[in-house]
Amino acid sequence: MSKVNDFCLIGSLGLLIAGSTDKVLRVFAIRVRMEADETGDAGDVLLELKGKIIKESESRTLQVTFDSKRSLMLVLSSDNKLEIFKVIGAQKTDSILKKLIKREKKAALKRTHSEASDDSLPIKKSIDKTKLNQLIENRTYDMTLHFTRKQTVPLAEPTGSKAKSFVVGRDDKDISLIVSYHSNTCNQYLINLKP
Amino acid sequence: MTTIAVSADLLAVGYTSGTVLVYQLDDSDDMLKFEQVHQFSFHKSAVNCLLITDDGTQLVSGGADTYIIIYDLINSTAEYKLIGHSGAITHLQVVVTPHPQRHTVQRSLLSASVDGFIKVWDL
Repeated sequence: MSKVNDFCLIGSLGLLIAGSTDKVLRVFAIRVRMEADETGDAGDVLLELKGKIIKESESRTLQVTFDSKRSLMLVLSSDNKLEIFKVIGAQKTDSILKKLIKREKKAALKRTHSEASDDSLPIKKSIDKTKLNQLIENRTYDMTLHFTRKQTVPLAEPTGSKAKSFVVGRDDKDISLIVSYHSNTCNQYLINLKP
Repeated sequence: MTTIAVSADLLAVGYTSGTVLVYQLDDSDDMLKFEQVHQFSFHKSAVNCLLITDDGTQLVSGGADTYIIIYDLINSTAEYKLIGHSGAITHLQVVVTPHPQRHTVQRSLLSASVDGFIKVWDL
């Protein structure tokens, strides 16, 4: 079992993102038990693993923060890399549907290639959009589709010290970040977000 | 000093010794002043994380000693010691969810630990 170094909550999506010692961010859905049964009472808060996000950094996660104002998730790893993910809101079902269609097409293409014999004609497989819409409605799709990698920023620190934690400034258009280091220093960074 | 937590008018500071100091922020003058209002020493080792509840009446601390302690900031006492994790506590957060039958909201505490568990506690 991996250590849980940090987590953040994304209330609008009902998700919890946990960072660990590996390069994986685990995405859990927060669910409330509707009726009492032998395993627990009504109203119990439950966490269900819904998917995994693979980080670019292979080092352990130090901090996971959700910036609700900008809809961004910021992940700091122990190799001083800051990864920024755009978070697609629950209302933007069109974006999720597009992603699901893209994924389905990719999977269908893979199946077609493996099924096709040498000289056969290409097989066109249709995507069932109703089925995909149903998945969105029931929230049974891969929740990691809400996250799009936007940018990875290596944080330059002259002494080579490792980062410890960070806070995000709330008032700027760009991301203003204050990072504390193990060398007892704090650096401020201004991150220009790519469009 | 290992960790801090802030609310509208409170600043809580955790130390490696296990002590938690809570300061009241006073900005009535031009200068910002901190006045110590509470001191708690219930952890056996470093305080890793702190959380002040939204209403400012409770403080929660998670320690390297695996314990979570809930303090009453009105009466300046420790209310509960939550025992369940087998590793140091790394993060604490409150989650508010609707109760399906009582039609009220309920507050739960989520705690993460190096033991690999995220635990949910009723507040």
